[in-house]
Amino acid sequence: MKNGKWELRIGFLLAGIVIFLAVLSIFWTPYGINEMDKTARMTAPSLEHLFGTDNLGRDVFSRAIVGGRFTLLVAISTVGACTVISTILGLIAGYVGGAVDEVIMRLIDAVNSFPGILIALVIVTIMQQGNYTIVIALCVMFIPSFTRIVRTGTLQYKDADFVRSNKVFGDSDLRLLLVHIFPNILPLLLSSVIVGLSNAILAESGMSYLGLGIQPPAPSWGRMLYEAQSFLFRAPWCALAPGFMIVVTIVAFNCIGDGLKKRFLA
Amino acid sequence: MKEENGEILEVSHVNNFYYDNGLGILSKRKKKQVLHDVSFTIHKDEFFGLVGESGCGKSTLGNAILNLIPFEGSIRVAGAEASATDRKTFTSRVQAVFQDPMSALNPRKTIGFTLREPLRAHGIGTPGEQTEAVNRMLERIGLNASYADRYPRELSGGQRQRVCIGAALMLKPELVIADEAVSALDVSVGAQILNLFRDIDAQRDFAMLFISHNLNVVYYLCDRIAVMYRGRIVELGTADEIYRNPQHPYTKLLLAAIPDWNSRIEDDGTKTLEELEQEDAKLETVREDVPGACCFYHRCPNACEKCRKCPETVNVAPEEEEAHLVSCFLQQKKSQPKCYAEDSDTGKTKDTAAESERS
Amino acid sequence: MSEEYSGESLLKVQDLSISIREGVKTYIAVDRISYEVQKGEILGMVGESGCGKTVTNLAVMGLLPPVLSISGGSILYDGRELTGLSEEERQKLSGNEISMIYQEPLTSLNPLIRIGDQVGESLLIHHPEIGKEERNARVLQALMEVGLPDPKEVIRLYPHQLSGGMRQRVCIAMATICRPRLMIADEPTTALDVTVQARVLRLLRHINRKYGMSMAFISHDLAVIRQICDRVIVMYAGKIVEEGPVEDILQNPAHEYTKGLMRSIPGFDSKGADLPAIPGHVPSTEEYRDPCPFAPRCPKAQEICRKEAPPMILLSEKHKIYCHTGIHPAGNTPV
Repeated sequence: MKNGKWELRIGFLLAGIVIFLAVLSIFWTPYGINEMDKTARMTAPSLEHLFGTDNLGRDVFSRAIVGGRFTLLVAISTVGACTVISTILGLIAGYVGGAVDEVIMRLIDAVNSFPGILIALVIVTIMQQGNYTIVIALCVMFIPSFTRIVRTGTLQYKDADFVRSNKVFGDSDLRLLLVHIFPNILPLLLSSVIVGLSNAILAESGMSYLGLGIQPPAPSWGRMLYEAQSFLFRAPWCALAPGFMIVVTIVAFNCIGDGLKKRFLA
Repeated sequence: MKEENGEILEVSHVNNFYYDNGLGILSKRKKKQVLHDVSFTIHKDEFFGLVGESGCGKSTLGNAILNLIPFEGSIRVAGAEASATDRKTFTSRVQAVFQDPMSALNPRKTIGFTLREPLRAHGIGTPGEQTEAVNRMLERIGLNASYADRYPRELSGGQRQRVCIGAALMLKPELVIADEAVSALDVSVGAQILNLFRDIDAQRDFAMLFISHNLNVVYYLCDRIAVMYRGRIVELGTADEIYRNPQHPYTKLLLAAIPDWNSRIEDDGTKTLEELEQEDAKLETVREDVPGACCFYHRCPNACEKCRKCPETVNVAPEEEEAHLVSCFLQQKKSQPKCYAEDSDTGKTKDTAAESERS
Repeated sequence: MSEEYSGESLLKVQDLSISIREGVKTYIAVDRISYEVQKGEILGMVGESGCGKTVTNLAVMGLLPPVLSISGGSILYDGRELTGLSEEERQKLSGNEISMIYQEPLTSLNPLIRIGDQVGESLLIHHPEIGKEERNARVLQALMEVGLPDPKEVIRLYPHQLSGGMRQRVCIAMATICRPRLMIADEPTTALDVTVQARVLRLLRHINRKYGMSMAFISHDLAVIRQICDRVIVMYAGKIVEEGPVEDILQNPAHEYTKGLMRSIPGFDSKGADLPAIPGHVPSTEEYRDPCPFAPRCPKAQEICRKEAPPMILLSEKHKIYCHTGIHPAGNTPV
């Protein structure tokens, strides 16, 4: 367990399955996601319907994997955009310092002090509901923590001996940042990015549950959970399926994140 | 573009400050001075040693010359004011080798990459020419071409320091600042590096400012030496002069403190520690610190009333020889120095009166 | 308890081997070394990084970190076997009979506790029967003995308010307050300015003579060793290569490594010429080592040096070297 080998293996295995299913859903699902079989409402999991059917007779499994696709897309877009923006902000704040650093950090603090849900609500209200609205809202929520990580790393390496050496060689500030400082921050950033993915999935699920995320009829795990609430005891599989998928995905990414962290700290 | 008189570095009246914020939230920010009116020059292609103990400001001075920290005063490299020169031109003239070879190399880049960086930063040569230059430098520093693909973690401390020296020389600088370049290395490895400094400069095509706390090393390697104490240069002269004819009380103390091959600390258990330390105190006493006094006033065994003011620098070497500058009121007279000690006899203690009578 | 320099052994290390674990592999850090610290003497241990001098003394103190472990041999203190002692018994000895001072006085002291309390802690632990009054008196006395001016003031100060030299004196006070019979000093003056170093060395010598406290003095600096040590062992890559009285070793170094080390130090006469440095480098932990680890760099190396461990050769009653290559005439004095 020391160098994170097992975490990485488990993580990649689980994540691989989830991603495979998500990709698969682009081309094929056992049933249509909105295909309603009136004869088979709320049937328990069986060979025909792996995860059973919901109250409208829709195949839960198909909805789950398509939901996974949307959720993953949102999570990846969010984390991707976040990383880019945060890296730029963090590098500038950490390297330039002074007033620029103060301004950026106070803005970050301001954003951070709002509860995420509130920010999401505000953005969704302003921008109308839509698939990409949720990405923007989540981005705004996550930028503060990523920026902090990049900024801390920049501060740490800014005064490193080898950065000073390269400065004396004549490297421009930009080159120092991009070629020397950033690659050294990358390992820690990477593992935080992976964990950020799992946080984004949770956040998206939460948003969808509240109705702020992906809109029906597109399925999403959070939405499925919401819809399954009312008949929780009659057809528990309708809630368990998306719940289970969420858990597996989160565990997968957290394992990868932990494994990477252990590897890089070794 | 060099000055006709061949000075590669001219430091004039350099001061440096930092702000100490104190420990408590209510403590005031204090302005502390690190370098006090530092002035000296380095000749073209000479090895110049800067020696002093921890806290004397020698590393700060090195950083100031490299334009890494702000300072007051003038630092001119090859005739041009350092702060007014753009980074590219400046770095093609002045390079550095630092103390810790472990951290001075980017751990994620190969040795070849690091050696190429200076050329890349200045846009010199095509990639092919750069590779050529890297290989030639590897040979010059005693490592074979295969090292170009290795990472710093695969090299020993001595090998890493060689790479640092090689990288510093890639741009053919006129001045190299070596800040405790051998202090973090084992003795035998340090010797190899000292040899490398000598050999690689066989034709003496660069000058070096060699900063160290180790007098023996500085004496071995350098042509002239400056001794620093508390942010000031207290003595400056040729290596031989400083070692065989030290004038400043601090230099004398420093030389006496070097563990000597020929003596041992003997102790038969009969005297108390106090008595033994009294004997040591011939070279050092403890006195109240007076602001504005000579920087060594608080420890000087020969200090007198006059020393409560900051002394001027005096040249005690004869006219035709290289200057031997001392910042002290009470030193031996030679030729015609503008010695303040001769102004009035009342300031002299018995010892120094005897000293000056001897010469 | 004053002990004369009698030639009797206080600490006897016999065939000690220490191994280091890196990941799944195990390497040898110290390879079957034997030496002793005699009563009343200061034994110098000199060598460069990787030679094992610090690790050996950590083993004596029982302070080896988890990656290092004793893989063979014995450590006898006053006839008692130290390897395999329980924590409890170890604690009774540490600070009380055997103490240690380190290279960096700043990190050896707790920044949050006043000097007086830190110095008294050893007494508190090992002699709880001593009352507070007497303990304070002993602390004051200890601080005075190490030459700190104004002990009454110093006990109320915190470490950051003292200079490096004064902090090291405090550490020495801490290490001697229980009057241990053996003190291990690991590069105690390396981090100090040279002017301060001279005074701390004098203090150590004084303590050794006045209280008969035996010492193991570790350093990479031969000149410092010369100042205060009676005997010295020279170590290289986990093995002892030469051992003997300080005068003998420094005037007639016999082992090629000792000779090389002395020639590497620039002195008054070496200006203007290349230093005859030892070519090559010290083998790192993972590198393969010949039975005589110095063989790759030794000008006198022969076939056998790479096949068999070097035997011990007695050059005189007290001067030993570990080498294959036969006669070793008196070496030249380098400085």
